[in-house]
Amino acid sequence: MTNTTTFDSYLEFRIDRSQALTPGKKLELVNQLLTEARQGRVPVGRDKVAHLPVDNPSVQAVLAGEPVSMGKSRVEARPSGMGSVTSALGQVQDLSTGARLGLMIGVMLVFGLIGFLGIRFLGGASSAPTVDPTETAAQAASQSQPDSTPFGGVVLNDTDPADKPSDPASIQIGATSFVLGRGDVDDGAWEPTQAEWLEDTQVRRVIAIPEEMLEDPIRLDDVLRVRIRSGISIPYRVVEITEVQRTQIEVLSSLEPSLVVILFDETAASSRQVVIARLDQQEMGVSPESHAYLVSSPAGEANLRNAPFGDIVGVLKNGTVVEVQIDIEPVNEGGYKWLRVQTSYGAEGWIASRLLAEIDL
Amino acid sequence: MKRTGWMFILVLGVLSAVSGAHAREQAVRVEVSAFIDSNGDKLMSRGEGLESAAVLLTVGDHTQVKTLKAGKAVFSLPYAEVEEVRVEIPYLALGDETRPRDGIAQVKFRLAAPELPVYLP
Repeated sequence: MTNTTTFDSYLEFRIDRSQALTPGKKLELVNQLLTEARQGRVPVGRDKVAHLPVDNPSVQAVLAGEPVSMGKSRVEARPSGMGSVTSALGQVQDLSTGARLGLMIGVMLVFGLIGFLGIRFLGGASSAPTVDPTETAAQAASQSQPDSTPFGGVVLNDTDPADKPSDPASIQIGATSFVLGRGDVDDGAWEPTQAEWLEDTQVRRVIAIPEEMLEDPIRLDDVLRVRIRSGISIPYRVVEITEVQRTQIEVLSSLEPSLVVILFDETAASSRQVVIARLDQQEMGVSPESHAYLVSSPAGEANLRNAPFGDIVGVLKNGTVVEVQIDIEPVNEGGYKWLRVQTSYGAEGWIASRLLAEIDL
Repeated sequence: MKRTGWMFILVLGVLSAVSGAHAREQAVRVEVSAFIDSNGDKLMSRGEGLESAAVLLTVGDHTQVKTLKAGKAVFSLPYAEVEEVRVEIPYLALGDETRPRDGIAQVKFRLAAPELPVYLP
């Protein structure tokens, strides 16, 4: 795949993701991609981006189109800009097959070199290019976040990951995802060096992140996503950000589904900043309560109608469980309050509320 | 003799109809408990029950959702619909299946307390 098609497919993916259907929206999106590219976010697949350390002089040289030495050969990066890409493509179509092949190999070499330079010259975990494998097309389609959320990188981890299906694999904070190692307590001390999840903390999940690795500050009401090993993404909403004494280990426990993120550093400071977030049930797609009722009619059965006081579409025996569709407003008609319900076998209709009994706890 | 036999069959029929109707009306309770066994006694003690976690009960194709309060959630279903029930706590990726006996099914989820450090990292 050439880099032109990589960009095209990535642009297509971003258009799908943000539902940019009008020319104006598409133009906005192209501008956004250019801005991201200037910040070093380069598409490397349909739904993947790599981070290039743009501050590095070698990478700057390549991006600026300056000649770069590759042994005896000299390679010059293509000038940037959409217009130049279009005109270059026009020229390519006029070439013979052999010349096109040669040109294609040359282009691939240049971009291979960009990747190589990014990795080789800058070294170090914090500046190495990062690819976000968690941003797949399917997840992007299901994300409720607006497209303005920039793609971030992944902060990798070389400690052992957790292994059970319910154990956290990574945490996404803003645009950055931290792969989590499995932390444990030794002689009463937990001493993470990278992002870690404290083993066996399942109800309140306890995660420690090196403060220096946090690019953007966490704010109240932010949604932090923990991805567990079974592949489920669990959203938590930030409800408290506070400074606590390091001996205040009560912040590590709760009986409610929640998350605590401890921002640690190498200093021996007596306090730490902690972020507490609660499970966002709605965001997770689990309704907090069902609205199930039993049919309970003096006649032993009740009519299911296609509208309040409308035609009978079914007869429900006493004891049948129906789910009230709470998103549809009840209707007062003929002296009765009518509720829209659905049975366990999928039939839908209207029923008079006085013929229903709340399931007794 | 023939008349007595017919009477016997009639009485049996009435009795079975009554008990059948009773069975249809009887509700089955599904009691779910979930707790962190902080004191290690394997029982749900005061202050150990989980709060606010959603519990899913599935019977056939029908699913109900309740929220744990003080570690408990109770579902009630018509007897005729209950053969095997599946209970899940999606947040913890926990689940169990059981068959009600004598109108009651109990499902217990016990979590071991995690080992915490004596100070924050």
